[in-house]
Amino acid sequence: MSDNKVDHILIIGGGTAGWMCAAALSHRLPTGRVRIELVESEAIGTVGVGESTIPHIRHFNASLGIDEADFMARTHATYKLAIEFRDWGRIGDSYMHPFGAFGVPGAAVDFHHDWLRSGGETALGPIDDYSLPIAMARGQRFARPASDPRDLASTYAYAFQFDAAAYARYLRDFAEARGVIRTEGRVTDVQVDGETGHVRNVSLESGQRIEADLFIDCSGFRGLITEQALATGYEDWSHWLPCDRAIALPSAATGELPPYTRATALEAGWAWRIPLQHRVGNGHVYASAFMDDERAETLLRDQLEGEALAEPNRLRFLAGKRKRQWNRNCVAIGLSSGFLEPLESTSIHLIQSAIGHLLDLFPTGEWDPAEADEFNRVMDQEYARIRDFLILHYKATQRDDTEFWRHCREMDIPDSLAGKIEHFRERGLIADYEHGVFLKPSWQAVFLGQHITPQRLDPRAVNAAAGIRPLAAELTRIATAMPGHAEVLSAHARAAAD
Amino acid sequence: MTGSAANPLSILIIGGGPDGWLTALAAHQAVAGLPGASVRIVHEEGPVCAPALSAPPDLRMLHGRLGLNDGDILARTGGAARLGRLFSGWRGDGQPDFIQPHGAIGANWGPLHFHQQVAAHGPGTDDYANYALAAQAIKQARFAPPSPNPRDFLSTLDFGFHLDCAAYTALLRDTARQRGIEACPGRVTAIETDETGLAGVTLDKSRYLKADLYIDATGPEMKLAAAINAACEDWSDDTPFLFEATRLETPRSPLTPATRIIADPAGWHMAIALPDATVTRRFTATADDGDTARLTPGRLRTPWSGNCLAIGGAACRPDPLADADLPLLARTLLRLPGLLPTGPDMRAEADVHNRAFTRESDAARDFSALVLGSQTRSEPVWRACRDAAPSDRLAHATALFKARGRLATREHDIYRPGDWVTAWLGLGVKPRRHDPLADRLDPAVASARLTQIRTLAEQTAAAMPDHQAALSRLKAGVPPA
Repeated sequence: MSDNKVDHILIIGGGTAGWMCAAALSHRLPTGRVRIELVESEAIGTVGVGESTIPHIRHFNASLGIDEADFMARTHATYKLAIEFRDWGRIGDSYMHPFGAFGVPGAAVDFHHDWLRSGGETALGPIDDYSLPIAMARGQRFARPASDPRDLASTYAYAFQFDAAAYARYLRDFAEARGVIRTEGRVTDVQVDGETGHVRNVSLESGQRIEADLFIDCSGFRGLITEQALATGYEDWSHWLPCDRAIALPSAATGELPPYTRATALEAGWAWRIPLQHRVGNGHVYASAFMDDERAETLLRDQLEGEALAEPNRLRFLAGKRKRQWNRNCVAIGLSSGFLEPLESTSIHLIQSAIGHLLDLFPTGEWDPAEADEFNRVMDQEYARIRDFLILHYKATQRDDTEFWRHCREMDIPDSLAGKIEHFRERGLIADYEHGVFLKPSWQAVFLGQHITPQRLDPRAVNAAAGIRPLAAELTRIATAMPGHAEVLSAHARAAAD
Repeated sequence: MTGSAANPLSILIIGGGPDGWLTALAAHQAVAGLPGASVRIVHEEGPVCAPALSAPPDLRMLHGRLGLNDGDILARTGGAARLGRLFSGWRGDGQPDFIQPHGAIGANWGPLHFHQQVAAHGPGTDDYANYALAAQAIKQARFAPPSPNPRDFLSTLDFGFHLDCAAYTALLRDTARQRGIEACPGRVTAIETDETGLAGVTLDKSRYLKADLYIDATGPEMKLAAAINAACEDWSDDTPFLFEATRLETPRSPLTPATRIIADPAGWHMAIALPDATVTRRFTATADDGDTARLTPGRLRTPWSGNCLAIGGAACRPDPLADADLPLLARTLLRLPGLLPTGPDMRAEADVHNRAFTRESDAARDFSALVLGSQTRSEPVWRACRDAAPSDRLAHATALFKARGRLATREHDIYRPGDWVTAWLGLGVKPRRHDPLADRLDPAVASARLTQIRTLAEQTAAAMPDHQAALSRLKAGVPPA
């Protein structure tokens, strides 16, 4: 190896992003040679809205060797099998975006073609009836998927809903046990090398100065290093995703433990409901150009199913991403890298993805621009694909009850998304990404759930209502035979306590 | 609506080379089960392709999908196995030949590509391809079909073909006839168009045929596509070696199970070894003997336009160095069943195909650019090849490889990662350092594992039958040893 090694890493900020980085880096980098330090300030709150996740989180936890029962008990986690979308296409609608496929595994023709050819909703009931994770979500059941890919019980994945602050504490313990040095303090100054443009060190309020080779900016929206020191620049996507504020407000548990997140469209945005073991996370994401803060809070309180447990936490943001996620010797991870609203629970996924790519492309110390270029190319693609999927939820609506929804119906959308919508509307086609979070079943769920119906179907699709209908009952039967979600969680709690 | 029982889908393929017949088999399979659907192929008599084909394993994948038996094909057409490509003369500094083997080359470790392990814990990257069973088998001129048992090292092998084009075409034609595909010999003498695209074709000035979907398999002539959609990208500036001459030579012994790709002062040639002859296709910058054909590298901007899908050489003519004709065709045909038209409006189907095909053919163009741009021969014509600017994608991929041996991610790639790595390394493009990830492997464990893989490759290859003998056995109907 050459002499200019990267052996001192400084992580700025200790929210979910910071501690996920610290945990993964301390686990995966050679201990003893690389020094990992994290600076955070108790005085600065964390955002922690990412309480709902997608199945990829399991790979992250598994790569750290985290025990699922222990992690779930410590973070008050519930299982998650789907997201329910209410009132999106039209007021009164409800559809599920499941973590799994529709229909039977291994079919040559995508299930929505057969379902539509056989009469669709009129003849067969909602397409939701043909997804096992949806049947499980509705019945509040949980079991791990079967391993045989031909088995219907293998056709789903699962994620978690958890307390993000508790998850950050959990990972802090993990990281500190592996030698990560935590320093309490506020960063007051950042020194940039005039010649190379690299960050050299940061100074804290205490006067302490910390040098590092690689800086990971997990400081949140403001981007303490990437923006305030390096002026990386921001790509604004608010013309496609106009929501720019959120209010978060936890409420008391209701006794129900639905293994799914709910996203209800409101007058100028949407509200989330994320059931945890000990409370329910609620929030309202809205567009300030179309709604004032007071109305937003009123609408959120109307959604609560239990009493409010805290004062509302208000957030402001701008949809978009940092122009370069990796700039010089600074990699932005978490909200400093960009913001996409948590409609599809992707905040933690973007953190995880950035960490994965950073580890894969961990700098050699020569700072060859090709490394950062590759990281940025991959993350840009990841951001753009999630962005398109989110925009679809707003664009594909028939709502015209408010100025906001009329705006969304009429707004221009990226060409990449326009093509996907057109392919589906015309012929029911969903081209597979080779890399990307949301694959075919996700697009099927949202297209159909929001009333984009193909004008033409795969000619191989057969009209076979009598053959398809029994599948719904079969899936319900499989789901009903599984243990209740609450029972599984109590068993975990007992296991963790032992 | 077309595609319903009342107005069944009809597909008409024009062109009688392997491209046309493979398309006929694929289309016939795709419409099986559609009531009344029909697939018809019009094939011209006469020479339809080069005397021999050199095909990477993508063709085998397509055969599998179409229910064609590889052993049968080798036995009945007098073909040979291809375990990779063997490059000679591409290094001006007299460095040795290099092999681009098919099948696995070692085993990756998470995101850490195998060549990084060889660089960090083995004898160095020059040795990379030698860990592939195919490379060892090529050196020893041996061949056996891959084992289906994943615990057997022989399962890491993959192969393509050297095929006598006429015999292979005849086999595909017989198979098509057995499967009930309507085939009519004839020449297209007139093409009628309307606002949606093609309206009909006239055969031999007498017979008039109509279809819902027309597939142009007429190669560089682009007979149908030219009538409605001739917007082409011309890639002739990518290479000076645009004149092709084909020769038949006496067979060589031993029978090398690889296509040799040989550069010389004035051009390059590929040698395709068949049991009964070696076919060479030579490419030069000037037409020095009478029997040369001029290549027309390039592609259609929208290979599927209106009701006409151009495939094979009608859609794209990559530089022969890219080895991409059959991989591009295979991907097009694998996509076809999901994109069957249902009526005159095929814009969505066409757009999905065209987007994917553009990326796939971009990869082909980058691959030949990599070879021509990285060879180190000193003759002026070769030096000039190095002046061409690579695409942004290739420039980035090369920079990342040089920085740390890492492969840039690429969607719709038609090559395997090992194909890119063997080309770079073989041409002397080396990473300045190995990936730091490799340092996380225990050196003793990693080095022992490398030795073990290398030994397995050598020993497994040594136990394989001689290539010629294996083919004779196949021909005699004896199951592989």
